[in-house]
Amino acid sequence: MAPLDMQPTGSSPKVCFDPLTGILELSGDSYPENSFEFYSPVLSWLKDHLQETETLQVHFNIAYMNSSSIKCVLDMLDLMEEAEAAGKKILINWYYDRENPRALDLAEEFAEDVGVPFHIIPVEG
Amino acid sequence: MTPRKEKTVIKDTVVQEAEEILSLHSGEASLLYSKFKALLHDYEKLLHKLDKVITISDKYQVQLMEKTDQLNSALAQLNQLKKIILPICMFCKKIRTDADYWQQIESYFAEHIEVMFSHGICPECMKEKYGELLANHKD
Repeated sequence: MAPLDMQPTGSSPKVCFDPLTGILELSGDSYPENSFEFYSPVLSWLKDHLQETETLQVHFNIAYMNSSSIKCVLDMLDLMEEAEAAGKKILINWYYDRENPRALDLAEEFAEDVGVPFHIIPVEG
Repeated sequence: MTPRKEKTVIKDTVVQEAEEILSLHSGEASLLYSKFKALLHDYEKLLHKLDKVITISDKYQVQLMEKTDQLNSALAQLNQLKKIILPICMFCKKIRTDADYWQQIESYFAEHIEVMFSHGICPECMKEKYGELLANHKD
């Protein structure tokens, strides 16, 4: 499996896949200058990986996203949904700051149309 | 949790016109018909995604604005405290808030910067106030 290890910057999240646990993790804020450029390798990796694997866990822990990042994350969720429909086992854990009154609503907004097990988990800010 | 509001889904004229065209040719097994139907389906999915991006983005903007307001208000309080010289009683440490009114330091800070105090006794005061008692207790 191809590795994926992108370290966080002030405006882009950490994106990494641990082959030992099979968990893809995205954490931090996401407002890169060019989100499409930033997420392009992530989407390519995900597309390839979903063809090779039978199961995938994805952990999101992103406090803020700009509009283009939201579009890219929705594209990622679409790919996972297609894989789930094709018989793969996908699980999404969406972590949110329990002290942020808007964060749960935002998580539910992402979860709304996704046909993949989607767990919304509160964490201490 | 706040109740979810009814959503306004973008329904543009392109979709309406395309649906009318499709209804005129419904049942046709032509390649053009099926391609047109697939294109319309993709277009509707794209519209839905656009609607979703806007909705989520607006919510992030509200969150940002609320945080900005909180920061501005905290900054205003901080600046207010930085600019003043607090007159304080050199014996009891009460703070003078106007000409005749002296306020306990704890209540002053609780009121102005939401700092709460928890009371304890430092070693020097312990010795001064209870030194004799402690010495007797040891004996």
